[in-house]
Amino acid sequence: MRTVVVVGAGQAGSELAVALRQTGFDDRIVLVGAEPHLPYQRPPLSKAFLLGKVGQETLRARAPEAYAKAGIECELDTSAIGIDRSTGSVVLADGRRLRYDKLALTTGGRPRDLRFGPDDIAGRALHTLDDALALRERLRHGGRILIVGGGFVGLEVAAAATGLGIAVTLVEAQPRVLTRACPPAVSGFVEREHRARGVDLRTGVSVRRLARRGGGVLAELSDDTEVGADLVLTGVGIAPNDALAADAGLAVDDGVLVGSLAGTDDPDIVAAGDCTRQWNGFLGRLVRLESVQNATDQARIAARTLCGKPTERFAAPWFWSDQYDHKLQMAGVPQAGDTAVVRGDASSGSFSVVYLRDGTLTALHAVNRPREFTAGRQLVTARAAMTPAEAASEDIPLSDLMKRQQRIAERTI
Amino acid sequence: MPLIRFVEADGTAHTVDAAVGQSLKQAALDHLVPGIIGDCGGCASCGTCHAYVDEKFLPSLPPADGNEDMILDGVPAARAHNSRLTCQIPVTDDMSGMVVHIPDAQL
Repeated sequence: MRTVVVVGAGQAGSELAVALRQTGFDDRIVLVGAEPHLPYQRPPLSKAFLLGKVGQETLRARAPEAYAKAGIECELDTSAIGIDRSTGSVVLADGRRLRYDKLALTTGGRPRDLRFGPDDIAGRALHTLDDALALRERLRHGGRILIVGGGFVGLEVAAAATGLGIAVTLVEAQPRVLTRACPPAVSGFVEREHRARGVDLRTGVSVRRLARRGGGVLAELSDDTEVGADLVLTGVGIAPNDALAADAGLAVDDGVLVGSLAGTDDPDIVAAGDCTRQWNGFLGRLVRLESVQNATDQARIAARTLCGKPTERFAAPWFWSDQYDHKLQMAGVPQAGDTAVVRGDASSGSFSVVYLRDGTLTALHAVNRPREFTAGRQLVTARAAMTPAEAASEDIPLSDLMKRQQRIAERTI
Repeated sequence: MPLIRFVEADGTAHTVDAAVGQSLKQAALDHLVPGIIGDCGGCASCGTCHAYVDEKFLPSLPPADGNEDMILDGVPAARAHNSRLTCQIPVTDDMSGMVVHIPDAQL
């Protein structure tokens, strides 16, 4: 009997374990998770769950019975502290050793730690279900929240907290929010929406220090202003959990290094999800992708690799965010030097930003335009040819360009 | 607990005991039915839970809203009049016997 051990019970781990079964692996599968919960979806934690619109049950990736039915042994509340490659075993915090024939690392990421001197105070993070439960409970009591970081998590919490009647101050050190993920037109729209709903949003400002004041904190900012708050949330990105791999001597570089088939430099070990830095065949470069779509896609690829049925997938990565009643949907990963073309009127609340490079569509960010997103995602994957005029012209629906692309594809086959 | 029959594109059928109140998407995931992905968790953002639902039950289902309609416009498998995002359909007691056909491709 062969054993596959999957370390990390997030969405990547859950999908990998299930996909192993669906791909025909009939022997033992053990899923090890540090949290006490069965695998759950993290994206709603900063959105609908925080607002109380969905309960804990709807977060779970699969029903508890699904793991039993698939014969997946779940070792929850159990941390892996080492990998002994010489004997093929995972060392657990409680001293046990799990023998493996093949090992999958889906250890995810952890919120980047930011501390504010001189008292070394850290804000709370929102990464786990327990973080979200605690934050939701805290927000029920009202008050003022200071959010450090204008990324997706910070902005989504700002939207949810505002919806709950909490006074929100959000500070972003960069000149605009979402600098890493979005073009200026999208950042500008998001900033306007938050300010219109009453968020005190400050860009180009960082927190110099936090000091305890009464039951809350007083933040001193880099522009010499002060902000009082009852709680502080920090959302400045995640770091990959790659220490287990690094300690075992696997190749690591800000993420477990994997190829396009999810293999590490040990033929018996694969890795998937937020913990990896992958060679992405579609993008043609090494990249860290922090998204559910990447986690589950890569998990299915890893499972096929472990089953001896390696299958590469060339598809545009995609991401989404919900803030207030706005939908942001992004396909592809724009790079410096791409030409950004705005499609529609950015001030209208419904527009897209199309990225072009050498006459080819490389990425598309849709704001409240789901139809353009679905067409755009397939056009990005197809590396469709597009001129700046076509990109800007709303007279030409993207679905028409998709039909043209399909005709080209048919001719080339 | 209504019995719902999911049929994969290759004809493989899975009859599942769905829980009332959960979505058709979640019923598929909870019973290990392949082909329904549901990356966005059910907020109609990703278009990876597209399926063709039983004609007989169509009239009794909550209609697709504008957002779902626009997502369905862009799904890679051909859109039919009974195309739906399964995350938007809550399971009810009277769905027993429903057949849901899964397309060969998702977004």
